[in-house]
Amino acid sequence: MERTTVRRTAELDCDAATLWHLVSAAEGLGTWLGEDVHLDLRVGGSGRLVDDDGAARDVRVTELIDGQHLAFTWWPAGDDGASSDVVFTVEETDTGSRLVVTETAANALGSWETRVVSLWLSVCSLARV
Amino acid sequence: MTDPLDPLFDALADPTRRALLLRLVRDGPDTASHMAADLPMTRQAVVKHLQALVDAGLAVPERRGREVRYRAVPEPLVDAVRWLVAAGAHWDQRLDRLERATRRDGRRSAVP
Repeated sequence: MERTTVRRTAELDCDAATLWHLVSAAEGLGTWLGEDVHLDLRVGGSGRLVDDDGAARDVRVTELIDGQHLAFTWWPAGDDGASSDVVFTVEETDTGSRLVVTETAANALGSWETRVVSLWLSVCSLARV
Repeated sequence: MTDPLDPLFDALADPTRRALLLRLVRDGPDTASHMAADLPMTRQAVVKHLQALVDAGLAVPERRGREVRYRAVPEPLVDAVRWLVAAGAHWDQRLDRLERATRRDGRRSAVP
């Protein structure tokens, strides 16, 4: 079943080890993911991230494969009903490395709505043609 | 067992119904007669299409005196689309910053 997922891929010049440090260490994450990142980086570890717009999010690590894969759940501080699941996957490439990010809404959007959304988006794109 | 989503897929599979739904979303509630005036089809045909949207839960008929106005009910869609757009825009910004960070750091360790 289609879920409400955002997916992005970034091709990067740095090697996979450097990229892994940027996506899996609090000080690395602090250079791009948000302004202020505190995170206990192990499965079950939690933390807090302040986004560049000042909004705080609570974070809990759900999966960790060193050097490759980090998954966490995050939600606006104080509102765990609006959580979403984020997965980072780091891959080595011929020219450097690649980061694949997915974010999937957990509870906020029910399955009925998410199935409709893909249809709705195709409706909107058809209308623009 | 009938899939409860069948009316929804049926309703959106038809380009005329998609166009009518978009018009209700964009321009607000309207009557079948008024919509038919701009379209190469009869009022009866428009009513049939609007009824399919009603059956799918995408529109509701509202009686006002002698006329029936149809209103689109896209709230669940709007919520979901809004989330997708906002989350996507956020990741675009973050990944721009990540690309800048990796370029600046070159081959050195990301954090000195």
